[in-house]
Amino acid sequence: MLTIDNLEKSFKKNKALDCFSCEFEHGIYGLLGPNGSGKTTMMRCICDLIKYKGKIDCGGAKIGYLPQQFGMMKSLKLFDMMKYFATLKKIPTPEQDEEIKRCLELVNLYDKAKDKVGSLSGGMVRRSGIAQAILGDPEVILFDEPTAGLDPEERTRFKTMLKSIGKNKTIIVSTHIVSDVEAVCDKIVIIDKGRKKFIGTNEEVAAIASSKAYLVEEKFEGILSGNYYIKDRITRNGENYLYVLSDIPIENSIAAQANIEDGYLCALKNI
Amino acid sequence: MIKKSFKLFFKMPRILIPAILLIIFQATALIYYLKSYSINGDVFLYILNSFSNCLISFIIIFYVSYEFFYLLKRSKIDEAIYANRNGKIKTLSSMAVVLTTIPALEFLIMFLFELGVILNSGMTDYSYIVHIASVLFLYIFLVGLIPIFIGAIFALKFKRIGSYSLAALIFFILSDISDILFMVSQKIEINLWVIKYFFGYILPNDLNSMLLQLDTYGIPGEIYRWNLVLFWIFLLLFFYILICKIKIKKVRVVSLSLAGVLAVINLVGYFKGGSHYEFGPQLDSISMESYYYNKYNKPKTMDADFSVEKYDMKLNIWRQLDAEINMKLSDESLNSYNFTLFHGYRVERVTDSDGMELPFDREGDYLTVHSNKNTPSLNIKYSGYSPILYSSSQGCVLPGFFPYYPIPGFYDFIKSQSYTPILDLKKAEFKIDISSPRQFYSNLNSEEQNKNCFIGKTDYPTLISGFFRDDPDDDYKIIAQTVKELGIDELDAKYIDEIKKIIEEKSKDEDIKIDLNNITIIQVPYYIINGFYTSGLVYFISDDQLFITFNEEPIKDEEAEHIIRAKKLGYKKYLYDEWLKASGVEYPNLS
Ligand SMILES: Nc1ncnc2c1ncn2[C@@H]1O[C@H](COP(=O)(O)OP(=O)(O)OP(=O)(O)O)[C@@H](O)[C@H]1O
Ligand SMILES: [Mg+2]
Repeated sequence: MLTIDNLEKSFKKNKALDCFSCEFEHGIYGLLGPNGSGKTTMMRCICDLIKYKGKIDCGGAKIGYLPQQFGMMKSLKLFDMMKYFATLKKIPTPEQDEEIKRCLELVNLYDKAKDKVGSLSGGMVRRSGIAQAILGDPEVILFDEPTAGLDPEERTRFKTMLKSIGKNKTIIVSTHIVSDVEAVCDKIVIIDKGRKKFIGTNEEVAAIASSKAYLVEEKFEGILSGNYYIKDRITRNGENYLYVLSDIPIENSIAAQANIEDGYLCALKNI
Repeated sequence: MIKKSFKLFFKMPRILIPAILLIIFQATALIYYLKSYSINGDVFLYILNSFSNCLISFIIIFYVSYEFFYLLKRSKIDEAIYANRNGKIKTLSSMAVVLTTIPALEFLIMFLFELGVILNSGMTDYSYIVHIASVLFLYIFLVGLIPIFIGAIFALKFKRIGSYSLAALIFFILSDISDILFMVSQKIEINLWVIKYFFGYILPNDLNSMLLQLDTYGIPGEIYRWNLVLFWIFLLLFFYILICKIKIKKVRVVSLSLAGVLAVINLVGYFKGGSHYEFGPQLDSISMESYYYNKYNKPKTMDADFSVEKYDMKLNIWRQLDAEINMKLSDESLNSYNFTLFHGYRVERVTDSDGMELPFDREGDYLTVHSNKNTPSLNIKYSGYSPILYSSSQGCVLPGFFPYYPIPGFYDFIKSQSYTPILDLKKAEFKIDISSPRQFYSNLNSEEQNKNCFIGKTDYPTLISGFFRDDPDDDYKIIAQTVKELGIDELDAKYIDEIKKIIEEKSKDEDIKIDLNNITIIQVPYYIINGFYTSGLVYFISDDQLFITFNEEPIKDEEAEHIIRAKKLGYKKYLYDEWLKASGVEYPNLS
């Protein structure tokens, strides 16, 4: 569906993407990576917004894109703005109104259609961005941090919507918040410093950290060795514990049940 | 898409209001000029004035365009739009189309207004309407596209502060204020004027500062000016296409190379120049000639030891005068033949009757052809123009006493950097075949089939073209200007009738014969006379032509008296007398 082959992009000496290759089938993909890892850059390359080296092939599919920074002309009504996008996406005029209605309803904004963009809240603008990305039912949809600025209710609604539209499509959702993607994504791509670190299902990601997660009493902090990462400090039964990811077993520790986040962190920290 | 872009535009008060105000302002200005010049008055002044707001218009269109395109960035909608297939080119080009309606509206309003003025003035020369439409199209519509492109490119490529500072620099160069660059250049001895040369002629505001009357020439809209404007349009279009990032490679390559090639062609065309008025402190035509003669003039005088019996002239008058002249010489045995030929013409080739190239010396206004065998005829090819006596597809004034063709002998015809008429010329046979889009007029008669071919015998072959008319049904051969000028009566048969009557009355006792019916009466543009050392009401008179210019309420009695005196004394003596009367000094004795 979408093939990326040896993608490379540099900003002066800074390599934002480095030999990135990946094949995206139908399904929902979570693109996980820390700040500056190259998620936005990759999406921009797919949309042909910037020059790059390497090959990207989406087989001529239509692409819907929600940029990380998205806004609209404030003095226009939301509906008119959507009309603009609909025309741009070559949706036939008689079908436009119906399609706009469908998309705005999916993001729970249809009641605001006649409002000026300037009067919408930040989260509403974000949701209208989601609506314009799915307008015209494109085969490939890229969401760059779609949930930034959304309240918990809307986050849930977004995930539900993803599930409902995600059939026979390639959807890529970029984020650095693991909980945003874990429940809905079929696969997770971990990206760091412009390189693909890992690709796999939720379980496979979690499995990276299996038997690498430990609860250690705080007083043993000094004896930690090898490649390890203190993910959290927690208090249990009045005792202070460290939640540690480590590639070598730790004495006097309690093994913990690793989750996706642990797997993601292990992948990033090479643990 | 264009409809949607219009909607965007109409919903943006920040850019819509200035655009509307501009249109209202232009219309109001037109009405205001109507009041000052009256609808029956001077068409030319009226039209010249409608150009006076061109810089304001340029600035406002730039602002509107910049803010319109900048909105994409400012509202952060750009990436979502550009991500769609051909989203960038579609959006950007439809926005540009929306903006072109501003200069298009300006053009339309002005044209309709001016059409009204022209028709109301009772003018019948419809080529003038075409002329006005074309210069308005050039200066209002095409020039109006330039700030649209600049605004778009700046908005898409630069930050706000950078854009507006760069734009301010452009406005400065375009405005008359930048004429100080010329003075600064002279002080620091670095030619800053070059910058002005690239931009300076884009706007017609320099025309406005001229108090010259160009009624017979019209608004300067020569090919080189089109070249400059088109050069900028295509250059900017090139960058615009580059920014638009057209996805289909073929389309991109073709459109880019087309724009690039057209830009280069027009740039070359601009620098090729041609006959035109030059403006500005450095380039003003009269001062340019002064500069030349101050620096280089080495006057010579020498009587010719031969004469030309017949001139066969093929003239091509488009950008400038391209001439090929065949001369039948009275004496074929000389080793060298001296001619006076204005220095603005570059001699390309001289051949004899066998087509053999002959060596020649060209120095200033002089040409000497060398030959060491019999030379019954000479063929001379040259091209160029005089900045004062223009000769282009828009208009032409070449009086017979000016060496636009090789005149045998050396004459010093420059006094204080002004031309003086070369007088006492011998009569010769002429055949002048002109190729030009314009109708030409002459004191010689034109052929039946080819109106631009003149044949006959004369001492001063005068060629004139522009907004003139001649009325073949008249009792007189009058070549009069067709554009009505404020305070100047039309030159028509009735007017000449009256003068004729006065002349007959006043010259009863004199032993002279003035037959106004058999000479060509030419209303020559006042501006031309300005470039010459002349005086009196009769600007030139010979056996077959009379030059008059009415630059004030004509005084018929006086006019008639002058004609009688000029005829009685001969034009040369008359000119010298009038000059002495007017200036208190003798006319420069040149020959
Ligand atoms: N226009 C640009 N000019 C210069 N460097 C850039 C530009 N855009 C991105 N970069 C650099 O490229 C790298 C990747 O940036 P990118 O925006 O793709 O990261 P990201 O994964 O989207 O981060 P975030 O989670 O913060 O959005 C970073 O080091 C960034 O500094
Ligand atoms: Mg990003």
